[in-house]
Amino acid sequence: MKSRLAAIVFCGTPIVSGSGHGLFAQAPAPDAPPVQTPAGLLESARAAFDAADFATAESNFQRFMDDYGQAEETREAVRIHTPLLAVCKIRTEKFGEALEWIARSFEDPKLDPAIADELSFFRGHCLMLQRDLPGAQTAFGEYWADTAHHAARRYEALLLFAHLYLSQDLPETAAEMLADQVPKIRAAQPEAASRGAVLQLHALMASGQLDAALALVRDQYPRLEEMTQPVAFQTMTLSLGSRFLERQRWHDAIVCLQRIWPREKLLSHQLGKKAEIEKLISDRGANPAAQSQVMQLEGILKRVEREIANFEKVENYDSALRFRLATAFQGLERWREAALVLEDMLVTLPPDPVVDSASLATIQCWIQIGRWPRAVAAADRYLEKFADTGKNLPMVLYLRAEALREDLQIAEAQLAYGDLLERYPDDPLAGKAAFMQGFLYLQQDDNEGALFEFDRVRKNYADSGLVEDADYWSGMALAFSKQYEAAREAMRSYLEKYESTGAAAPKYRKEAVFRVAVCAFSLGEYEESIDLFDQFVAAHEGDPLADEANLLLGDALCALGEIDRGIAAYGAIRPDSIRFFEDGWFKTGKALKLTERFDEMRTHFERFASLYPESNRLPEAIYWIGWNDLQAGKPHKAREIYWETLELHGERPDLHSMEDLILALPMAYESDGKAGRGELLRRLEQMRFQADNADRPTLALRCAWGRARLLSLEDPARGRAALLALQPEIDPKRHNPMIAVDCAEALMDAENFNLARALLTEVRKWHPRAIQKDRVFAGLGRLAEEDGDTEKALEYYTRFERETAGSTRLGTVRLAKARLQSESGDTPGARATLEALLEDSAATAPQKAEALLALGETYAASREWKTSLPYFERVYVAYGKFGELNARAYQGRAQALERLGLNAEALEVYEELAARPDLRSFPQTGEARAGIARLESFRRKPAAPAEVAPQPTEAR
Amino acid sequence: MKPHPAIPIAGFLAVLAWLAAPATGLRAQDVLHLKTGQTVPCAIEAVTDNIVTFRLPGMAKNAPPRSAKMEAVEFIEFAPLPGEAKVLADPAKAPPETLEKLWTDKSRLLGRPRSNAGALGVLHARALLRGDDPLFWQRAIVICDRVRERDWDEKVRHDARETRVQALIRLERFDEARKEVAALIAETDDPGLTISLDHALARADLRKLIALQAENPRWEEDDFVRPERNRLYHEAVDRFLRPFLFHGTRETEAARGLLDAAEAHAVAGNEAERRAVLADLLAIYPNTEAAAAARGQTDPSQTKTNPTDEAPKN
Repeated sequence: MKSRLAAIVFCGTPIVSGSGHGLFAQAPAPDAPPVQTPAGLLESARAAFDAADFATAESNFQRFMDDYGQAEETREAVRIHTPLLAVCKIRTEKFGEALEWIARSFEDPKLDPAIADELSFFRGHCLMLQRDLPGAQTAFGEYWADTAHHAARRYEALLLFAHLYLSQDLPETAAEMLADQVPKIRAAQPEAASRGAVLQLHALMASGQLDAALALVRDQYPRLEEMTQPVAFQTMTLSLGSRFLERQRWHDAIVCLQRIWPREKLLSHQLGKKAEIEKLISDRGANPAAQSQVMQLEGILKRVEREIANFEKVENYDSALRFRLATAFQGLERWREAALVLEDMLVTLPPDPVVDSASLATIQCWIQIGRWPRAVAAADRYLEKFADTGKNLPMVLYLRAEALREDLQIAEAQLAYGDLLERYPDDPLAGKAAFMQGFLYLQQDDNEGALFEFDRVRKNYADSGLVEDADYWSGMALAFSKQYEAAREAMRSYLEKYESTGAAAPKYRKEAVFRVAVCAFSLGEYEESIDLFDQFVAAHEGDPLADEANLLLGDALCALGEIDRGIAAYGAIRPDSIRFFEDGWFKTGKALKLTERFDEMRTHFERFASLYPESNRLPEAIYWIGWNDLQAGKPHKAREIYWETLELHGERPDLHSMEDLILALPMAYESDGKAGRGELLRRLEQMRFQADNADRPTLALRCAWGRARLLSLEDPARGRAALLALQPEIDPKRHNPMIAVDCAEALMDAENFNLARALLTEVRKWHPRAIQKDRVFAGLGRLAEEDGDTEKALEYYTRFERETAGSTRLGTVRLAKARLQSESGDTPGARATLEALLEDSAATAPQKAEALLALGETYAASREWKTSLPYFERVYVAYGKFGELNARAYQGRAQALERLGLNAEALEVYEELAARPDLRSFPQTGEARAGIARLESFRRKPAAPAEVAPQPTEAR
Repeated sequence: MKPHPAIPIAGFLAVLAWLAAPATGLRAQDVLHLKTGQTVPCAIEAVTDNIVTFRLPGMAKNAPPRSAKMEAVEFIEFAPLPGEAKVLADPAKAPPETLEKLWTDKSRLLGRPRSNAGALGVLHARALLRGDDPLFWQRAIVICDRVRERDWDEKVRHDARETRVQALIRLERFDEARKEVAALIAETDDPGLTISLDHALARADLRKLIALQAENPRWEEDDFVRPERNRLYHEAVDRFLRPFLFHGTRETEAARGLLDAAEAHAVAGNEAERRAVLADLLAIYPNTEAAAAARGQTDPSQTKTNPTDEAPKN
């Protein structure tokens, strides 16, 4: 396209604005004339301009103006090219000169409006770059105000206007202006609005308007995908979040930090935007008419590239972001939330220093809320992720051990402390770990192990601050292992060592002094112990240890015959120390008994019964009162105290001692034999009747239950009937589980399974620690079996094993469990259960015999004949008196031997069975005879004597 | 009446060209879009992979229908069924029986390009999930299976898979749901399904916790029940909190999670924690339905929030 300017110059035709792109309308470059002529200069300048070679164009235009601009002939050309030169000045960044040429352009009354539009915009640009900020702002303001101006440039002018407020350190004004304008331009120019939002956020933060900044972040977050500068917005959001953290505005910090994309997403998005801008520049770059747009885009591109470059330099962005979020939750003391956020970092992010620190914080947060298994798991994950490179490894190992210890996994904790010691023997935590190992040994009653570890602390970790603790607990370890001389010596040394330092009192002074006294007592050195206890009690009145001291003091005094002083010592024990208090009370009673002060003794125990009816030792106190009366030849009086106590306290369902009292009643009537039992039954019935009428249902129930128990001893059927009658009166939640369980067992015997199940279920529900738990699980298991619910039955039997392993019913339950396991095809499970029974020293002989037989039968059932043999044999060898079991065992062994083809041996076993007179009535004996007949041919023949050669006889 | 035997393509196209109607503003019929660019308004009677049978406007009722080979057809634009437009305008309000009928009538077109049979099937399945009967949820799975196997539109197939997961969650078939969610997540960034699954698992744990505590009112004293009780409680709360912690800008789900966490704390008798999560809910998601439900349940002054809340904001 020929240059219109060139045509004008040569033809004198005025320029006509082309397609609205004013100065930048593209024209073809003619063949270049010689440079030095005016036309040549203009031609070459124009050509360069069209080719976007603004430096050359500027130079040539300037030369033209300088050399020929004053001539009359060139006036028109000057008028026409003045704006072009202005543009060249701008593009070559000669902004001061550009302003001059812009001003000159505006002197032209015929200046094309489109050209004027652009120059107006660039005037502001030049003023800005010349640091005439107010001037630039005015220029941009005027540009924006005129709605006839180019739309896209208007928005740019608006943003620059706002930006200039910031440049002039007027962020509040910028923020106010942008808050007003950005929403208005969003529909028409979303891209400009997004950049405006970025500026606005910056302005708000610069002016400290953090609430407004937060509101803007909330508002803009849904538009993040559209933003040209998301990195800028997000990094400012992160900064805002950090400021909220500093101000402990935790919720606000969380709102910010939730609205930040992960690094990869942000970078990817921004790089995408950058590519879009670059493409736009590329598409328009060659078009001189689009140069103002190109300049704008180049400006944006520069900013974007700078932001990307800065962003890429940020290390550990994702982990730092998450860490900040966790910090906000920690500030709110939301330890769970903090732990979950931090834990996710450990799982999802690659190892880096921030993740390392965060992982440690995770463990600490879990520990803070007592979630020990999670703390251990987090520590394990740390170990897996960081192996030996983690900078917090020793602390993690230590915390892991602590969490295991708190979770009562003592053996694992011990190993964990040991692991720390082995890997980091010189770490400051090693001393603590060694000490804790010692302490755990103490908890497991391994005093030797404890002493070893405490010694290690003294020798290897003298600076750990735990030597004093090690010294004291070493003394305690010696005391626990009954080495009283050594323990006393250790405690004295401890006191001497730490009292002589002149520093604060020894940490365990009180305990050490007490222990010295206890050691003296334990060694039988009563006089010394009395002095020491006296001193201790005087010095520590009201201390719990003083109560124990008084108890031992009383014992020592009584041992030396100073009964009254001993009783006084017992009497000084505070009721709050229940165990020592009751011990003291009963020892007082015993002392009164030994000194034959029977009246005092009776009164003493009467007071106990009156004041402490809830005590588990109430029956014991009643017993002694009764003993006293019997001693005085007043058996009726002895009995009355039981009835009086029952009358007084029997309505309180929480006093389980009442049931114990009732169970002790028969002893008080024993001396009268059958008549006494009859009298007792009558009194119970009478009290029950009276309680019923007086609306005292709990007492009535207790009496009825006591009566039923008594009846059961003589007539089980009557006893059971009496127990069955209790059922409607029992409230399993309130009443002693013993009553409910007794009733439930009676119901089971009467095959009233539904009611029995209901009772036992309620007992289990309301009394999970009841002593009768074993009976409950055994009963529920049996009931489930009745229902045919094998799975449920096994569940209850398993709970029985796990929760009541000390029960005398364990053997019975295990046999039942093994049977069910066998029936349901779980042969390995059944065998394991039976083997466990065999190893249980508390199992009875019949149970063991039955277990052996059952084991033999399981092996026989799976055709493991050889394995079954010893089990069968053990039954009749070791438990020969259990008839049916023996018969089955013989048969089982014989059949197994037959299967193995050992028919001779089988025959022997059959014969042994058949020969047992005590087993004749069992069917297996009949089958044994058939077996004998069948296997007769395999009978071992006795070995023939060796042949001897006949000796010649002497002839007569 | 037997359909007219298929006429050769060229002749057929000539006939169709004669019949092809110019575009009009209103359309009440099916439209065959030919590969030549021509369109033929008609009423489709049957369509298979090979042949389409149709009646032209104005054809006598006793006239045999026309047929054409599908290889000449670009796609078929099916006229909406009665009530279909209304349903599509607001599917959530459509009566279930309407959706069922639409699905029943249109399901024969499942897989036909441009047919919305699959989309209607998904809407019907979703309506079934809004009911309370597990049989409905099972039916939803059956419908979703058909759609995901046969629909022509990838988005609709994806929607069917998502709806299927929702049905599995309702049926508490969590293991299957988990596998499907994992497969879907691999294809999309959207965490919505994972959040749904986590929420359902948490609610299931909460129900078990309530039942366990009812069966064991003194669980604190039971050394063997206590660990299970604590596990259910903590796992439920952890799951409820996940949307808030990891997808905090999904406000509805995050707020719901906080409200549910508060419920779990209440069930567990942990009043301090309950107040704390409610305070977080009200502070961070004040305009959500969950916050509206939570208002009045707590006195925020008793819970640690922003220590400087009373101080000047800036």
